[in-house]
Amino acid sequence: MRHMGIFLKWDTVLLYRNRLFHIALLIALIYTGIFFLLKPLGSLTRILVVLIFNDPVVTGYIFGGVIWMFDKNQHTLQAVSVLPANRRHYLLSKILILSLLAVMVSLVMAIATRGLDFNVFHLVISVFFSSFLFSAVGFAVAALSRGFNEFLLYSVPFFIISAIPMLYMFGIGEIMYFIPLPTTGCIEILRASFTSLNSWYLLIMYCQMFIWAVISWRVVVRVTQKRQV
Amino acid sequence: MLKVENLFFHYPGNPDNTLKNLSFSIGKGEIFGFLGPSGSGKSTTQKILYKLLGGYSGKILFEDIPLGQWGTGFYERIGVSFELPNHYIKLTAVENLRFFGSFYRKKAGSIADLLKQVGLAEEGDKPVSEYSKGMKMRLNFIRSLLHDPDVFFFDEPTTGLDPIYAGKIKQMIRELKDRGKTIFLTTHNMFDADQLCDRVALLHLGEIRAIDSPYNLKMKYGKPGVMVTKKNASLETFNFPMTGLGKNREFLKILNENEVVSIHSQEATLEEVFVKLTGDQLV
Ligand SMILES: Nc1ncnc2c1ncn2[C@@H]1O[C@H](COP(=O)(O)OP(=O)(O)OP(=O)(O)O)[C@@H](O)[C@H]1O
Ligand SMILES: [Mg+2]
Repeated sequence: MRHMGIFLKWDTVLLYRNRLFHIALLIALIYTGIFFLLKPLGSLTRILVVLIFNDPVVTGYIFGGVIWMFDKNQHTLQAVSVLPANRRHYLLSKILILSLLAVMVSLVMAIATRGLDFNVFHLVISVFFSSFLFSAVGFAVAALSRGFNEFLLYSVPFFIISAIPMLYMFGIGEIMYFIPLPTTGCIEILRASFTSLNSWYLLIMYCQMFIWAVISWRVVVRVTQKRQV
Repeated sequence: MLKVENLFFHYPGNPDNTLKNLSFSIGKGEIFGFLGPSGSGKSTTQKILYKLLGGYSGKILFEDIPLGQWGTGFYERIGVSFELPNHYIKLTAVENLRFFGSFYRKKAGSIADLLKQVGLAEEGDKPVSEYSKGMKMRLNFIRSLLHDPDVFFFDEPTTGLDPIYAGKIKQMIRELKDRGKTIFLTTHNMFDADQLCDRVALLHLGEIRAIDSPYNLKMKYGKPGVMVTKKNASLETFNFPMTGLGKNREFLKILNENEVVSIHSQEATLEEVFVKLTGDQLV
């Protein structure tokens, strides 16, 4: 646990030094701007869900990959590998930091657009897990890619799959067809922070989301352990 | 302290063995060197020993316990100085040392003190991105000392350093030995190997061709000689073996011709030993 604390502390410092913190805030401002531009078009809640969900997906994936590549290019992965520390702590810390950053950004966006008129709990949990899922994917894909271009190319299918469950929100298809997709839980819980949804339904979505978080964690641990050097 | 038996290794995707049947052991308090040209497998061997690379065959024992059975406690006991700089470049040197140092239970001297020893006292608060290659290598070196480990792996610790700092690092390595530390270093510099190591293994294409003290190796394989340069139309250089020099007609003839510009005695070198054993040059 002490090691986890050290990782968290320095990952926060690095987030700031690498300007990722600043970029995240800038993105929040841009998204909020887009929201106000789209406001006249109608259904605000859905637009807000699309925008807020998009942020942890894109920044989680990109930042996760960028952080992995920073460490790889600086060869710091090697240096960390010969510390008496658990490699999982190293990974978990980075994923947690990115998830917390995403939560912060989403709160800025939600408050700027809705004031305090939303369910904070659902929003925080949903954004946290969306970012968890996608920073894990970002790390894993970066570890398997040979360069940044390849990493960006692979992002396309992931982003498309992540967006498919939104169709349901726009009234297309039955929920059971969407349940197996990784982001359905995240999106539905995010929606629940702006509209009220059935409790049983939410419970299922929470379970779905946890299961995918566990799967993504397993995958990233496996993939990155093979690619330490 | 460290024992390696019949070590074979190949990188995934390359079926040819990079390391072929290496066997050696390093005693406590010894400076053991791997001397070999680029690509001979020095770094690969070290990476296996500090568990960065897996999938080898053969036996490796650290303090009589198989390497695979050691947990993270292994890393409390060893210090690694990598062949390439590897620091967080957006952090300062002091921050890097603080970060890496905070994982260990044991602390050696102060960070300020370590920086001072390698001439970085003034630059400690600069981000590493503003460091030169040599400065980064010095930082690599002192990072391995942070937790006062028992065994050190130094991968070409003086590469990229000017003679003054290279000398300083070599002196620090000798001081570590005086304190009873065990050191495994790699180099392709025969002088470093000669000056520092109690024993060296000559590595060539992933195979150990000889292991002994530098002195014994030179006695056994080296041939000391004399190099004479004389001048008539242009400068001409001749080499003669040291043995039987007083009766060497050619040599005596040149001396008598009164055209000698310089005479140098040439000690046997590890380079010579290496060439003799492998037919290859060191660098
Ligand atoms: N990650 C890798 N994947 C595949 N082959 C590798 C890898 N790293 C090294 N090799 C190969 O293994 C061989 C030994 O490399 P190694 O780095 O151990 O040599 P070295 O003796 O340390 O050389 P140098 O003096 O240049 O550091 C070389 O032929 C090299 O091409
Ligand atoms: Mg090497």
